[in-house]
Amino acid sequence: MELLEVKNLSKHYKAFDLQNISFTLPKGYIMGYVGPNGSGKSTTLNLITNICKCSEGEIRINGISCEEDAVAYKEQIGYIGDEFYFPDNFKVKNIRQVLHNFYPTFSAKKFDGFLQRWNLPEKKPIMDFSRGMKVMLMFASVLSRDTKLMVLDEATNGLDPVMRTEILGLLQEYVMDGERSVIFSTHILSDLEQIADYIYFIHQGRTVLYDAKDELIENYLLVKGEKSAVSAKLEKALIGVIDNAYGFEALLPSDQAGLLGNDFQYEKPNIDQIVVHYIKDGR
Amino acid sequence: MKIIISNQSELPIYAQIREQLKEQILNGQIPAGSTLPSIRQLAKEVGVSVITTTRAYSDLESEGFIASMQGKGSVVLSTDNNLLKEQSLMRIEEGLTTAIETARTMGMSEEELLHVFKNLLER
Amino acid sequence: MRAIYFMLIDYIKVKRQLYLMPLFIVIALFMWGQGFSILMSFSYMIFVAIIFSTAPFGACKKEDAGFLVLLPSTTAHRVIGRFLYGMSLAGFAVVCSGIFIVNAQMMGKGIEAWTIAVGLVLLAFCLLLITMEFLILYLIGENLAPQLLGIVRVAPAMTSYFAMMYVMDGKKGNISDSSEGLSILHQMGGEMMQVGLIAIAAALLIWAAAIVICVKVTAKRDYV
Repeated sequence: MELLEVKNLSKHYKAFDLQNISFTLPKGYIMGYVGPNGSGKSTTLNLITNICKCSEGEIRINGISCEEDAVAYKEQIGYIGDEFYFPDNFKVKNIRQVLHNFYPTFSAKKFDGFLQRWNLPEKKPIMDFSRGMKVMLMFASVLSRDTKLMVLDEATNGLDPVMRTEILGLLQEYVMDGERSVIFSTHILSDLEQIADYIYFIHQGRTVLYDAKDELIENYLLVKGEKSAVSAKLEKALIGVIDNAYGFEALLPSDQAGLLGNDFQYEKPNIDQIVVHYIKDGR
Repeated sequence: MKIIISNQSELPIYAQIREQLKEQILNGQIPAGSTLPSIRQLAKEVGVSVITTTRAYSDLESEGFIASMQGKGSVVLSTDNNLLKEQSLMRIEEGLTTAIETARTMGMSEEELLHVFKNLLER
Repeated sequence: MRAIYFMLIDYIKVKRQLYLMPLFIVIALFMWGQGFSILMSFSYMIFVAIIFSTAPFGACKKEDAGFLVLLPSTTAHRVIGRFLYGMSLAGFAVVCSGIFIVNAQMMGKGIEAWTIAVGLVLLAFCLLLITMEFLILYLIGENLAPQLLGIVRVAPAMTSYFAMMYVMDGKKGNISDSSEGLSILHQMGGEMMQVGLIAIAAALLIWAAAIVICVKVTAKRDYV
């Protein structure tokens, strides 16, 4: 069963177009939404959260679109942004009150539990929270109610490795029951390397790759060697050749591995390397 | 049950999980009849994606090491069942065939090959 | 109900500025105590209401969208909430003045009916101004440059106040028959009450129409 369906999504700005994004995310899985800065990651997520309105296309969460039922649609979303989104002069108790007013599934008990677990002081003005505390406060507000889709826009930016690891654990816990899913944009790709089930890779507003992460990694080889040893046929098959003084590095689709003789070294790429070479390639 | 994932390994992560589980089933560390953790639980514990653990489990299932039962999860099968024997036999045949083919391309005689085989057996 | 919750959010957002409210009430009371007309105090309260009415616009940052826009709600809930907030401030001025009047009557100072009628016209005027301000802010977008926002926020309030001063012939703002502007109103006598009620009804109608327009305009708007 698909939890999130995105169909032919486009958004036109003066200087930037997001074009024809389509994907589905089944229940219980994590999708990593990757691409360089300015590639349209946040735009896509803002369209999903309905903070921005799409020019064309359709988005459904559990079959509900925001146009049909904005309240039911938004109730399903737990959003964590790269910027702290609570109004400056809100206090923790104001946040609790507003959540209570708007979300029938909100549990103040759970919320307080998270505050305690992450040592978030109730009295301190939230403006004075550290980046880590701010992120955890957003998590507390989202996890203390029943949501179906967690949308994270660069949420782990500026966090230390300990907190990032804790957050990745939280996300896995979140999808544990197989009913809820996560879409997660980041450019710290090591975060995704392990826990993401699917990778959607965009560049300049267009889809580059979209596949299960394991497939993606297996579909490519990272090839290193001397430029002079590259045959014309191999040259054509290589993706995003990066030269240095002593050789080159490039991606090669695994099914073209036959083109490699003994002259090259090759290994499994990681997501980072796939992204870097594809962007270098400019396809 | 223990699973250690290495990012340096040549094996993909799902294969690492599969091989480590297989080894522990074969040497009895995971006894037949016991239940493996659910796919999602394992993914969470090991910190890998659900698709990865799903793949490891389905490989183990098709190789006859485990069976997934409705409502009970994945149960470890007894390793001396026929399917497993058959599979091992297949793997042995495969290995020997490769050896024979290599010997033939080298022009090795049958006696020589048998000699190598005996020597290896006695080792 | 969600609209009311959004109104409450607006109140939380501008809370720090609202702390000044009691001060303004004291000033209004003081003016009245000094022999100014109750209308003077009332128009002063209205002046304050108009100024405060746009405060949540200024306090709305782009980043807040991630929280506020994502609260399960429609555009209509958010816009109506904001308009309710504006109206509630005008309502506050009415309640305060109402208390003054009751006080006055208990102290034996009678209030003439036409004073209340003028008050109604004033209130209608206040609602209209707030509506217009909101209309402008929603049409241009909530995220105005601070300078421009300052002008939009203060200009109507100033205008209304000075207009009031003019009508009252300046000086002590005491309403007498010689006061040019008000003498006409006074002569209208009983009909004045009808004028006041009609003005209020018209203001409410425009208020409702403005909500519809603002919902239409913002429904398709991006928040980031």
